[in-house]
Amino acid sequence: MKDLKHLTAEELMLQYQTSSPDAAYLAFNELYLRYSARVYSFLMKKMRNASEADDIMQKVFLKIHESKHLYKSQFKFEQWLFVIARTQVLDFFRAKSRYEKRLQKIAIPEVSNLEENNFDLNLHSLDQDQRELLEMKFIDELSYQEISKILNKSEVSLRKSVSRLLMKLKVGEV
Amino acid sequence: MNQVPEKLNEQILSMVHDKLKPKLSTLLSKVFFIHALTAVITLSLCPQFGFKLFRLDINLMHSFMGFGMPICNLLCGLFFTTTSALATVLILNRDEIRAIRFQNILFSSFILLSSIGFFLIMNPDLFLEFSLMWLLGAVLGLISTFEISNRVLAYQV
Repeated sequence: MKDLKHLTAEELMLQYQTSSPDAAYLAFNELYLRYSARVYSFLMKKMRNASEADDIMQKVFLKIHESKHLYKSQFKFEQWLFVIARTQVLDFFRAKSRYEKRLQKIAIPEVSNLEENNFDLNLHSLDQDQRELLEMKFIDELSYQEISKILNKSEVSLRKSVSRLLMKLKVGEV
Repeated sequence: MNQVPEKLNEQILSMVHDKLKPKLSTLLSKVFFIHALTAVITLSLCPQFGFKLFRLDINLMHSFMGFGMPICNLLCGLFFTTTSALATVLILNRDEIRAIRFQNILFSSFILLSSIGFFLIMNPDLFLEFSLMWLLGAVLGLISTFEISNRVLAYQV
């Protein structure tokens, strides 16, 4: 058998589609080795939550397995893979109506004394990094430990930043 | 770039491995169950060696007999196993069908031996009448159905 490392992703897909179960598994294994890290990074970027990214990662590769017969070799495998990954992410957010529902939730515990509209207005006036930090903490419900791993910052400084931002939101400085 | 957790790698790879290589005992049981169910129907439409389960108006054996005894035997065997193989292809998933196709001899022998065993239990004299043409038709039916369906299912139909 030809060394799998020298095969293109499209050739590996053909082997995955048509060969014996053993050869098909080897082809899948090689594809997984080549692309899993990139897919995982993509998912982490989109989900910002390790356990959700893990779930979607499983779904993406399960979908690839179940849809392998739909793949046509004239298309680039990588493109097809990321279309599936993107679709899985969108499906996830759509199913939960995640952002809308949780954005409402964030206002309740910490800043219930503020008018909701004012709060949303204030939230949107934060810069991108500040908003992402608050979203990770209150929308994605990540722990400080998890956020510190993603952002590569210490837990202490994250706690300070979050509390400072919440104070700012309360007094309407932003 | 984020590192994929080792546990997740193992989960995904073993999930695909298990799907591509289903357990032989499970697969044999499924095939046997489907074959047994299909045999009940086909035996009513086309009696094998005169063995009939239900009385239906349709009797394919009479039509096959028009081609002479050897051809009738061949067609009966072909019909009996092709119907079973087709039902198997319709019920099982793509990966299971692929696994069967790549162990064609094992699965074909299993279906044939269980059928012959059943016929022998029901009629011990059958062995004397056992036709090579029936066997040929049955083997042809199994191998060609699994081969063709696997090729068709590997790509989108």
